[in-house]
Amino acid sequence: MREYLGQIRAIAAKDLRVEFRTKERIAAMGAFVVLTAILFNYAVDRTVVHPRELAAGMIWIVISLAGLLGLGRTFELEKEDGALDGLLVAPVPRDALYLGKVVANTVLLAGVTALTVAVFALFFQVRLPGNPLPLIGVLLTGTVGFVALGTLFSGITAGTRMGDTLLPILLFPLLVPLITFGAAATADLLAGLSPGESAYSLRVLAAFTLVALTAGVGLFRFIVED
Amino acid sequence: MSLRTVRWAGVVLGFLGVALTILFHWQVFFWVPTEASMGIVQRIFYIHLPAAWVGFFAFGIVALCSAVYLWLGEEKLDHAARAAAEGGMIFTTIVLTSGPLWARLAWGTWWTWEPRLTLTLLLWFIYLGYFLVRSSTDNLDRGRKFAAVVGVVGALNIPLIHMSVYWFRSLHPQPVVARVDGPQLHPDMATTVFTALGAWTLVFLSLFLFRYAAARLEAYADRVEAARLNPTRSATPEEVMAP
Amino acid sequence: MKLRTSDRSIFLSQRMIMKSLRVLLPIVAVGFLLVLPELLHAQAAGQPGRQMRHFWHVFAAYAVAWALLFGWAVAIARRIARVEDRLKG
Repeated sequence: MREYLGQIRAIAAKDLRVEFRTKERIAAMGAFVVLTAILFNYAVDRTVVHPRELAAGMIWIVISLAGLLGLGRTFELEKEDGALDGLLVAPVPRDALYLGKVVANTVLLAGVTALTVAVFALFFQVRLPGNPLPLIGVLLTGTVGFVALGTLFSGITAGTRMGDTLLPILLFPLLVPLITFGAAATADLLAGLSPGESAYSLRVLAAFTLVALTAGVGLFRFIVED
Repeated sequence: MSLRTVRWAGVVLGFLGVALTILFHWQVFFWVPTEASMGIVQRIFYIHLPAAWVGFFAFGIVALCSAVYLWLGEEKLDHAARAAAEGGMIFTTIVLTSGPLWARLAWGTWWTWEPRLTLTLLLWFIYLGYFLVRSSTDNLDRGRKFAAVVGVVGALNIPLIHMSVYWFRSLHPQPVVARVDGPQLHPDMATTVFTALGAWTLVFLSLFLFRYAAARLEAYADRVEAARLNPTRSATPEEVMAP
Repeated sequence: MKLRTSDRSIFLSQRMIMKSLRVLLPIVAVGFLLVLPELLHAQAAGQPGRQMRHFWHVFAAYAVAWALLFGWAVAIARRIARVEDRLKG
């Protein structure tokens, strides 16, 4: 067990180190979030609807789209120069490889999520709840679920001719539970309702994340082996 | 199951399916009473519901065959999953065209976020991904595995998607719609819809078996041709494993 | 492991499907012409314009369903015809 966790950590550390040095994905996702918020400002007529009313839904849409941008490149590095083969001959079980990638992607996407919420709070005067823990819980659970599915599918699309363009087609139909319950819980918390109100949504989100992780751990080996 | 049995089963089921299809068309157009509040357009119901049922049934076959294919690596199971997915795509398309045509006259709008209709739409897109993954992969074997993974993950998510679409609807109440499939369904209507259900299940199973047989024959022809091109390598054409 | 002729004849060949289509489509068309007054009569209460609209929606829904199922059947038949040619040649 100790060894397994160590392997996961090694994979995650490798990906994060590369990302920390190049800052490619985080820069792309961060810029995407801020620019989308700016475009959103011009897309909505403030005399008709206040952006705050749409904030919860928009936050989740922005996270999904920004996440898509970053997750699509999960295996970009490995595609070059047969690096994936190198990684596969390492004495690491396939599921540890998958979980390592999930951890690295979660760290990245959690940063992007925090940025998204901050941007919405700053630009559109979205009032954040006094106790941030429930909101963080909802956002983090959703992010892990999204990353779990996205990492699995980006492993698939990396092996196809269509590449990243295929990712939203595979991913978005399955994101319906995430968006439905994530946005609902976020809206409740932003409206200042007690965390108990969104307990049901949080439970479904947790179930979604659990299913996604289980599927990823169980199925990842089939998409990398030859 | 030998290919011979598959084909015979396909023929028998096909004949039964066509006979029942003719029967239910007669029932729909000449026998069943017209629904009082919605009128003639309600007769779309008799293809809409069976198509939805067959679509879901097909997706069940896809998921089951995909999962077992990943487990055992048996090529036949992939042929079956693919055949069922093709049928599922056909029948969900029927649901998605007949639904709006009905809704327009019954509820005054082409599209409603009716939970089952929404679920069917999402299912259609999952099938689309299933085929796109397969067709955009150069390595045949990898494409099969990718598609199987998509099929399994899609099926695992169906219960949660189902919860979402229902919950969303309860959150945003829709105009009250006439529920034709409620307990007040006229007995003649129930008979008709069950006939239609049986008819299209049989038609689907028959075409599914033929499609499956075709896939197996194609794989066999590939093996034969490979052996013809390179007889020394594995087997002579006569020794190639039968379809 | 050659296919026997008796095996092959079980399949709905492409030609058979085309032939049956040629027979079935006129039957379907005539059937609908027969059905039309029946349907219109069935809803005597509604206005005539509304009835025609209902009829067209029902017709479109059934036509799409038939077209899709026939299309799938034909596609499968062609596929089988093609693979049989490959195995023969």
